[in-house]
Amino acid sequence: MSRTETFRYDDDIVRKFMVATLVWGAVGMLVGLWIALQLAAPSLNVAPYFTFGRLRPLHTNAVIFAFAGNAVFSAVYYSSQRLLKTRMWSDKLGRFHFWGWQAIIAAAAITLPLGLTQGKEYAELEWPIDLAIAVVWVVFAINFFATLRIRRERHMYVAIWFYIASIVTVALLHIFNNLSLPAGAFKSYSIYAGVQDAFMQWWYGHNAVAFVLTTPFLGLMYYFLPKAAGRPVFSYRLSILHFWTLVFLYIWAGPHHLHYTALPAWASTLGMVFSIMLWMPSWGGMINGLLTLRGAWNKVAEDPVLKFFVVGVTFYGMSTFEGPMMSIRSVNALSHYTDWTIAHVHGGALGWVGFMTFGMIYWLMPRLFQTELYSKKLATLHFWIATIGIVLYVVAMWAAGITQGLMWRAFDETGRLQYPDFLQTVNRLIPMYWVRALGGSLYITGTLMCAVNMWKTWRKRPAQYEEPEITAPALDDSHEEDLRHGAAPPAGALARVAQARFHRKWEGLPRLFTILTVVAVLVASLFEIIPTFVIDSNVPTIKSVKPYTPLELYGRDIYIREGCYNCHSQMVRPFVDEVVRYGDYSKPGEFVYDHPFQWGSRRIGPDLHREGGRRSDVWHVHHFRNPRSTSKGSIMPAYPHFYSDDIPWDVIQDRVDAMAMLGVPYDATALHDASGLAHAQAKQIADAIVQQGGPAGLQDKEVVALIAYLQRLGTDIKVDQPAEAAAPTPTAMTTEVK
Amino acid sequence: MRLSELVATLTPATFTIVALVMFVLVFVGVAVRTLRPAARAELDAAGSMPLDDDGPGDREQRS
Repeated sequence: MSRTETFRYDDDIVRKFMVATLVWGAVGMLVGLWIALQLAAPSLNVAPYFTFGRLRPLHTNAVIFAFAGNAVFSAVYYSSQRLLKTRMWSDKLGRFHFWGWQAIIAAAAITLPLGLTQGKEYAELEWPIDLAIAVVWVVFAINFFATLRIRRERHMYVAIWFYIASIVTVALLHIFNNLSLPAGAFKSYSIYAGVQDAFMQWWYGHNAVAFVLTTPFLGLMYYFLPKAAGRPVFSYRLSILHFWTLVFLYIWAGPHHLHYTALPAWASTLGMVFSIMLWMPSWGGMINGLLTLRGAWNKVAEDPVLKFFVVGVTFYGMSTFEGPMMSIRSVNALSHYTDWTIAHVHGGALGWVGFMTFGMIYWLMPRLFQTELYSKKLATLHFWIATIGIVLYVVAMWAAGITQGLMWRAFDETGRLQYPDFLQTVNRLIPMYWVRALGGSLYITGTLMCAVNMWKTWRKRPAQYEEPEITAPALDDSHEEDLRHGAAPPAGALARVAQARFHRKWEGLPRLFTILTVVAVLVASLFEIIPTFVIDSNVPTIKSVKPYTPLELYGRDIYIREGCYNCHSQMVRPFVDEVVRYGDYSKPGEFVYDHPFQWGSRRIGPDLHREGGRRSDVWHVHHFRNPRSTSKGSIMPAYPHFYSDDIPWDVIQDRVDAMAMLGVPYDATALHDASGLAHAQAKQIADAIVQQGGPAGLQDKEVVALIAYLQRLGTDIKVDQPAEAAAPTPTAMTTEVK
Repeated sequence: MRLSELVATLTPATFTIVALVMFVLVFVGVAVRTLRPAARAELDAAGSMPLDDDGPGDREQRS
């Protein structure tokens, strides 16, 4: 018999993370509502800082890393201590983790509206913040793994496995996707370009969904759902299968974000097949969660916590059916670039992530504040109002997505596009955007109710929190200690040996277990990534594709800064309707100098990959000043600062040099006098604008750089067709304006 | 033989097939190990771990 030890749990850190979850959740969701309203009413864009393109990354980063992130940390710190029967290894590292993470969120909230961004979805934060994230994450990992070492339970419960997988995989994803070369204090270029950058980005992007928004929440489910239901998980063995299958499969699925793009077909097929296979473990997990309530369904009627959990797990099932379905290429052909994607992610985010979080918060509140919940009725009302909100949101976005997808591909009886004007397909969606905003408002109302409940419950807390002493036997090396009371002793010597090995050699050993998880994740990643990078035939070289000129490069930086990729794709898929609408489909070789790639994931506005030469310079001048002056019904923000802000000529050389270091073949002139080249091209464009009847004096203004970039887009392989590329005559253009 | 030469001899199809085989092997391995009768009692006991912690709040069961 080993000695008994006493200790106390650290609940203060859980309280901190729980409050932060709710605060950032409210902020992130309000920003979400704001950008939803901007799409319905573009006048709500306030340039330069609060335009859709800059706020949408703020929304996604806030809800993913601040709301869901803090929720995950609350769950990890609360449940790990109890499942491992120990206090966290270090209180100090826990505090550092908490305050470090909040500082990172604050930095994101400041830098994203300032336009400091890497231009990669969900990885927008610039390199100094990325470094800070890595440091804080490593501190968290050290504290977590050290806690595993000092645990007093030999067997690590499955929730802990999910946490381990999340911690190691997020570290890998974050580091490899954010490898970039700084070109200033808050400016960097991805070391990958074009197809490879896209591949890394969606390896990261999809696995952020997997290892930030799914696996840690499954850990949460496997701990908090049994707690709330008062009975063990339906099948622990199913949860083991769930874990290993999910961890092994998820990592392959990323390429389904790139169907019909310039990604090689084999990679796309691989992503699709593994995505469909993912359906099975996901539903195994959902069934495991729901069946945990067998015989306890009456509790669901009374307990808001269980209501949130049941609907949350149901949304997990819905999203993990919808996701594999959307990964099928022919479905994806319709759904991709439309609001269907937005419907899908919000089903998962509001339903699964949000409801699991709120269920956990309502369960934790009375325990952490050591008093009764202020109002169970208010919590139940929160549940209903948020559920109605999700339904309105998701149904509106499904309708919008399918409507727009069908309109894009519709041909009339004469064989022409039925809706040749892209705006026709946008304006049809406006009523649905209002419904979405209504649904979102209801959801946020629920969140604010939760905040009131938390505030009022907190006010009732005792003067001093009780910190009871816990006693547990210390862990020693005897495998007899493994036998938890209640477990029948294994029959037969062979079984006993097998059981001891089973515990000691696998799930019982954090180091080995972690290594196995890393292997599962890494092997899969390498098998997909290596061929993409080393097989030359994946990206055939196109001789006529040349690097961007210094001015175009700076224009591209403006494009990234303003978050244009949030609404405009640069990827014409090989479909008849897209080729008719936009021009020749995009080739992998066209993106070899694109650090980072800008293919986008949603066409709120039209694709821009063949934008070069489609319109005159002066059209763009008027369009950026007021998009509705050239395009009636446009929902694009106006960009008045493009006309007042000067191009910072002195940074251009640094940008070109950074690109050259990444292997972009700039010639000697560009490497020595990038600013001079940029000046000359700017003057040329400014003169052309005047010639076309536009305003004079723009040669130093940002708008010129952006026009240079846009006019270059997709033109490198159009050199043989000068007739098509010619700009319309000036008179034709000026008549369109006002 | 250098790594690049080795990789050059492989086609994408090789990678996808190896990937699938690897997954099937891992899955069968985990399934067999988890579902074997000897593991049953022990895993069922492990499944109730969340319920036998008695932290500060749980004893009082306030919610």
